[in-house]
Amino acid sequence: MNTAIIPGSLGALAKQKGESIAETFVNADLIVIVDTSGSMASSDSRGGKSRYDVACEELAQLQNAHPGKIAVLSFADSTIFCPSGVPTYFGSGTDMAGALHFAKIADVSGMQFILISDGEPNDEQKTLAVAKTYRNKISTIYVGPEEHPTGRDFLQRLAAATGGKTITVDRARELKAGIEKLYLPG
Amino acid sequence: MNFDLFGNQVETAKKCKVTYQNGSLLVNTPYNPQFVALIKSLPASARRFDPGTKSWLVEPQYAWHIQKWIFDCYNENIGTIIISNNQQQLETRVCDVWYLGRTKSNGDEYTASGMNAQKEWAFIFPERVLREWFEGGTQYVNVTTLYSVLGIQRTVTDEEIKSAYRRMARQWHPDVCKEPNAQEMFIRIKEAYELLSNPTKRARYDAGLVLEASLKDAEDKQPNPTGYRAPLRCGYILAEGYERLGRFYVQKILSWEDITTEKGTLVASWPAGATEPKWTWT
Repeated sequence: MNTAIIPGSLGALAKQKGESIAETFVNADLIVIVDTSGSMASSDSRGGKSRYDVACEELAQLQNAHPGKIAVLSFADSTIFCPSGVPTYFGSGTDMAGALHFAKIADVSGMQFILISDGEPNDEQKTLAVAKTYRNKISTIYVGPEEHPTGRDFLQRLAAATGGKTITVDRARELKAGIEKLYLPG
Repeated sequence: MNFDLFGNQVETAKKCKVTYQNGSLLVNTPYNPQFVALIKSLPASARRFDPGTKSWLVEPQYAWHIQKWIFDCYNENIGTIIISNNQQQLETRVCDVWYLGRTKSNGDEYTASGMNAQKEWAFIFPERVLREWFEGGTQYVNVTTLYSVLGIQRTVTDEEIKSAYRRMARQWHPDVCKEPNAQEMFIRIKEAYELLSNPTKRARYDAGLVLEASLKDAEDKQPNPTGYRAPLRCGYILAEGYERLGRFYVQKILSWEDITTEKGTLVASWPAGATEPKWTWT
């Protein structure tokens, strides 16, 4: 597991300011929920790297550009908060409903959510049901291959169910730009 | 054993006395350094010297140690020590705490001593009890939250946050409070109030607390005390507890009110280098 702390991440800022993660989180306005299930290990992205590695690079640049604004969660069979800014790689199933349930605690006024995935959830109906309980919009980014957009349809439906937008970022290659397209810093 | 001039065994008054009172053994003996050393070999939480009665107070489970040591050091057989089988009963008391210290390890757990108006260390507050009161349980152990800075729990209303701020600002104002970190604490109290009094920021902070706590899920959730300092130093504290070694051992805090008289509200602090707390009425 990568234990680096990304500059601009909540963990880095908390350390810099000598405050708790919870205090740093007060100024965050974007929750990025990253799918780190097994398919993200496919080495078909930029320079032969895996989608996961490219997603990590893109997220690092994003957090650097918007210090203290972005909270990263990663999920597969379970979900974890990653204040270091590096999504933990799980490499197993896709419990998207569980991830949304976990992130629901941060569904407070003015918070934006972006869910990044390349696959289909274990349970579509349950995932949509949890998404519909959100007061804020959930936008989605499909990071699977454009030529075989398995799972994209579901991510579109999920975003639509909450009033969010959806885009495709082929194999996570332009993920930072994709997130910035959806994210309006508050 | 003593004998008269004719070799007859005679009874002499015993020098040592052990009685059972309020859940403790009251051990009264003439001074003997060997005996003192043996008593001090017991865990610190199990014995205490009471200067008032010039006696040692010892936990009853050490009765046979005491019996043996008195025989070894004074050659006296004190006989059977009668110990009541009654369980220690919890009672509710109002503790007039005029100064509450930092928690320290007493061998078994971390506890803070509380001083009464007569300047006696009459109360014992385990760290877990203080954290339960100020931090609402063990979920955020070892994390000083902004709520605990204001001495309130997470469920309080906006109005309660405001009154807690006023109370803490009065207790920690650097002009009044002489604790070495009063200035720093006063600023922290202001910051905590500014954040928690803003509903949007408070909601985000609460979410951040839950996320932060989720990081500790995989870790040991048991408290790992390192010397907790309650944000309030004094008060009338309604508490459940029991008598232990001559002190009231608090098990649960039920309410915590400021000590207020016609002179004002009491602020207690311990200036650096002082030998006792300083009390000011504001």
